[in-house]
Amino acid sequence: MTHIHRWSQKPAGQVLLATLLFCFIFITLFIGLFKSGLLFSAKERAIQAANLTALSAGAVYANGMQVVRLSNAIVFAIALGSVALLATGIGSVLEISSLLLGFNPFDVVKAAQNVQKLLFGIDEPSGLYPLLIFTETLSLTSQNGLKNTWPSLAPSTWQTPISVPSPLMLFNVASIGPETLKAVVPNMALKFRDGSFLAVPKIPKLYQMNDQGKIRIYTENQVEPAKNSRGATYWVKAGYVGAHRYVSEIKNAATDKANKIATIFSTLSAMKLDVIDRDAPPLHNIFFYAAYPTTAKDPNGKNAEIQTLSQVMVTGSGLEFWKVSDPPYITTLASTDPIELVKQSGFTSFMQNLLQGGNLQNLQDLFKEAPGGII
Amino acid sequence: MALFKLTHKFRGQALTEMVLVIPLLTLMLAGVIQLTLLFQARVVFDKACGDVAREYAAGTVNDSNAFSDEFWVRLGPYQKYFIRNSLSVGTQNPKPSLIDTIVQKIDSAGPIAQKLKGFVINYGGKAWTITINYSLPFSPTFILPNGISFQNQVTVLRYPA
Repeated sequence: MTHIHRWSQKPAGQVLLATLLFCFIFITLFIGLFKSGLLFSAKERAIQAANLTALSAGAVYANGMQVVRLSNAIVFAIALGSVALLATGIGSVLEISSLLLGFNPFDVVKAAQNVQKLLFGIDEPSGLYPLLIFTETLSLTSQNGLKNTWPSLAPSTWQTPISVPSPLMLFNVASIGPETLKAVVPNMALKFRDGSFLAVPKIPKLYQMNDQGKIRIYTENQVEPAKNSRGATYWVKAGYVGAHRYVSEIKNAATDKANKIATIFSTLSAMKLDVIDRDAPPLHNIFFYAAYPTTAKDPNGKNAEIQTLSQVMVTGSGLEFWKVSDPPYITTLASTDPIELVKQSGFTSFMQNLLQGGNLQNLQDLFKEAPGGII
Repeated sequence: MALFKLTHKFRGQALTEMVLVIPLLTLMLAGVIQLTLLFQARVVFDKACGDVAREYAAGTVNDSNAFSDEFWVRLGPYQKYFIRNSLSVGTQNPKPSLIDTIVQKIDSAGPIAQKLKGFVINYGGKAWTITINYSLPFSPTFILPNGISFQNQVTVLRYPA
């Protein structure tokens, strides 16, 4: 020890020590530069991989929107055919057959709408097409080098406890409402249009009473069927002026006609027409959250992963059957730095809480709070 | 003799140390610069691959030639660090998914079924493999004469296919 101490006091020793220190600094700098370079390069690849996979999900989604248009056209053609059958002579034959065999041409429309319901997951948690979007995206995830921890269909590969799988997709989360968890289930944000937009409000009935020369008018809520009727069928409810005095309904031919029309339209409002967007204005988007594995080690000695988030929006002119020849739906990528977004929005903790239940923050609020948020 | 005198003085000693250290320092600095440029080039390469794949998804790039040309343009000022002749772009279909199995069954069902399929499933994609050599700047040609090979594979679907 004393020997080394003495040697380090000599110029040669000092030079060697300085050289060693110098080399140490440079090697550290080199390793740091190499590691950060590798991670920076991995970050770029993670962004590209997530963007391309999200765009692919959007492409399948956009194709689905055109399928919705086509299905609307088919249902409309079937409905038109049914109406035409009933209107022509064949209609009477079908009417007889419907009486004898229980066949109704409009049952075909209902059956077609049931197929739409099953295919697109309308009024259901999910459907066949949304599941197709999910499986196609999952297939692309692995091919783009992103982590895929979803269990295969074979039950032998399933593990407990269930951890948050990667990647995760959130479908139309902004308009899903307070139950954010539902957004994890593939959906296309669609609904059936009913005839409620045709509904005409009924004109309320009015009742009158001659009160010593003054005409008093009462509404439907203020009168009740008379319990001791002497000709008139209604009297004024207790608590109003002239309680239990008889009133007569004000008859008006125009009001009657309007109310009859309103009754017909209220029947129509219960009918399903075509498939439309669930939200107004329409919103179709997918958040794609994935992890990109790297060879670099994190402080715990595990392989570091880069978490990234992409958002695609699917937009078009509408789903009505007459828009079947309109330009196809297009997919647009949100231009936000995904790494920053994940960091700012607390997305990771959101995901960790997702399957644990309780303490689940609303994702919508998280994005709104995030500076440069994309919602 | 003069050198001997010089090295036995304080000034001489410092100069000798400098002479010994400067080549090492220069070498290391050059290494740092080369490494920085290498990673920068790699990032530019990966970004260009992803951007051109997005162009494909948008329908503005359709084949390997167009992909190569667009990729080269996307390298921008970094073109000088890459060897143009070494650029190769290969394509293949993405790995078959569940829908591909169904589609194959429809294809075998006949031409009418194929036409119907065309109406319903109109998305498709490609897996692009891009390879190019990076030449070390400011270095003699005998060090890695063919440069360093970069490769990336990107897969994307587009609609309409």
